[in-house]
Amino acid sequence: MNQTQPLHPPGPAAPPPLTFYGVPVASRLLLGTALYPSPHIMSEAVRAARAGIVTVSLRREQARGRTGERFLDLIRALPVRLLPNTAGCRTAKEAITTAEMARELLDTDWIKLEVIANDDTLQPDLFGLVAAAEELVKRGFRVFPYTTEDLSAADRLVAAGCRVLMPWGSPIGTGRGLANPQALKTMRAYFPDLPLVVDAGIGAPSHAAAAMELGYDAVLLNTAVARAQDPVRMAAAFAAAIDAGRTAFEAGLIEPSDRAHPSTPVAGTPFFDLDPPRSGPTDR
Amino acid sequence: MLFVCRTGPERLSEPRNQKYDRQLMTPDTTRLRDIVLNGRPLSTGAETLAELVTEQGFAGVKVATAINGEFVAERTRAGTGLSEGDRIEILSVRQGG
Repeated sequence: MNQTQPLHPPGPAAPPPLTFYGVPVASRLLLGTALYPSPHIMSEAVRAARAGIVTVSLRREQARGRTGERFLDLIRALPVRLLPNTAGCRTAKEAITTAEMARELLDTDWIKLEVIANDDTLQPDLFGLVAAAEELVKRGFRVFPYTTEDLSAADRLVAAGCRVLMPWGSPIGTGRGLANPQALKTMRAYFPDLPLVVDAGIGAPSHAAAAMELGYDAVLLNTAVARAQDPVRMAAAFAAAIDAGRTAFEAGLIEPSDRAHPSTPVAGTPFFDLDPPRSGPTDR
Repeated sequence: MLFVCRTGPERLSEPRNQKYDRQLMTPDTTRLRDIVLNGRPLSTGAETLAELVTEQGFAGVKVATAINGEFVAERTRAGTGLSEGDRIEILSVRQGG
């Protein structure tokens, strides 16, 4: 047998792998590290999710404290890349300073940029977000902005140099899923080649699958796994759902229709020529 | 580095006004500053940000610093003097979403 002969004929060309700023990403699930019952469960959940990227934050360290170092040791033992966030920042200036501090601490130019508008919705302040993104790109950061589906803000972020956008599904921590799927669909169509990640609001694996079926490149979530009764099993469920949703998108979903169409062939249907007529109520 | 050092019987009787007491006993070259560290008021003898980081027990520890909302890189801490009323942040990595 010819050793060079492939055993199977080549299939259709595999889609190019997902990359963020030129870095190939094996997993389409980005996982947060907060709110878990214990550090051990967090580590196990990250493994079960097969997450390739996890998010971390910066917080005040107590005098003589080593909390940050202990957490960093734990997270560095996982096969993941770190994406620090600017969670809680309310102005572009706060976010820029936090990003600089994160870059020094973690030796990464990746930053998940959050500029929060208000406490009730935790929705992005799009004006502060764009201002911060413009400055951070100038300073050499690779910015992952947490944004909305708003296309004018998205255009500004791309013009600023963002090469990935992360629109919300619904407000952070609500678990309400995709509040505006039509807008997310429009955003996907508007940026066919830009990596897009649904970030926040995902509550169930079906929500994550829905995001992937829309053609989103990845999903970022935290609370839905961390606050589940069994976070490790929930992480596995999300990994499966995201795989399913992505595979479905690549396989090509059918378009929804308002009318029913028989799936079984009509030709050869028995009793076709008998009364009563085939529409309307029938009497027995 | 200049630290406030209190020894002997003075230490046994806790003064009502610690800052005043410390000023009496420290050499003329040391001046205590009232700053805000991580949101809490603090009187410190540290002259520079690097000294403050050491005084707070972070020598050799991975922390990041900012003064009055501006990032201060680790390599520039020694050359960054502290002023009265400075608001200083010393941060480290935590869980996040």
